[in-house]
Amino acid sequence: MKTLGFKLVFVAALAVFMQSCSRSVTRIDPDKEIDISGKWNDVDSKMTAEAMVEQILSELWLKNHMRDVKQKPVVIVGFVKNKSHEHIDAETFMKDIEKSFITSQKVRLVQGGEKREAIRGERADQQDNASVSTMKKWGLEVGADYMLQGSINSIVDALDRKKVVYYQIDLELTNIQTNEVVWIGDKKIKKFVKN
Amino acid sequence: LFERLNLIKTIDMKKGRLITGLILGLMVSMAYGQELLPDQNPNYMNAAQKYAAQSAELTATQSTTIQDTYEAYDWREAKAEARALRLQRRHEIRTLRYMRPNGFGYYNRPFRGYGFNNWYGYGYNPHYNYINPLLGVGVGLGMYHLLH
Repeated sequence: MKTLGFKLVFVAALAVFMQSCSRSVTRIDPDKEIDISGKWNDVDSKMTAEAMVEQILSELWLKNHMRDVKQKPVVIVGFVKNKSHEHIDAETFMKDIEKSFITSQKVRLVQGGEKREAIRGERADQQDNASVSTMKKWGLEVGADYMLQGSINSIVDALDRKKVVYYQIDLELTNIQTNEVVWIGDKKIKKFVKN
Repeated sequence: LFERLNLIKTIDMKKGRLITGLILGLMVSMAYGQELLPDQNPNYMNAAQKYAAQSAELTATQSTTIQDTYEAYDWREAKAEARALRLQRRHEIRTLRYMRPNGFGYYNRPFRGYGFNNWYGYGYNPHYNYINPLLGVGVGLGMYHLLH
């Protein structure tokens, strides 16, 4: 009886040990809201993207441009400066905004930065390697009317195990010709974290 | 014949210079002679030249996130950092103790010398009487099995 008891305890201990060593991975819905550390996460990025898309596509600047120019505005994305206390990559929500420009067909988007350099590099390569009929020409790029720039700021108020974090994400659209800011959108997120 | 050839060359060079000068003059006059738009600043060329020189640098950050973060107090992080610092300090103190020439730790010295008569002398070895606790558990279990 005693031997059986020992065996059972041994098997149970082994099972607990094996369980503690195993790793479990589960696929979950990307829309499911999960907060673990209280830091900036995918939920915040998604909320920011939704708010910005709604604001940028529905506000007056777009109507004013269509009234004055009678053509869809062309936008280039500039930089976003992260001045918060966390490492945040704005590309996660900026891409959603860019995507909304294309899917809504209300705003035209031109490439900037490294990707534009790569495009120009390919065009340069075509001058030597592509057939004359398919070779793309220089000087025919679409010039942007507006540049979209932004900033991320945060305020942290913490005492012992409690913390309140406030994020403010601002995006601005500036007319490249006149330097006039035609639109400012923002998203404010406030979190209470208790450790 | 040579003299005639040299004369032709000189005339050609003069013509070439004249044509180049004319083209350059035409380009400059076109640039400056461009009519200003209503209310356009006549000194716009100064800015155009200034920014044309650094356009690559100014557009390099397009579509990127510039990280200009600051450090904020976080209770958990502060606690973890303090713990890491404490462990590191303890480790350093232990290492220094073992490194002492005639002090503790015969086996953990970087250089142990040769044979018994090395110049480090005989120090106290903390591992000399070390008994693995698992060995004790094993012996205990063995004894238990034998007695029952």
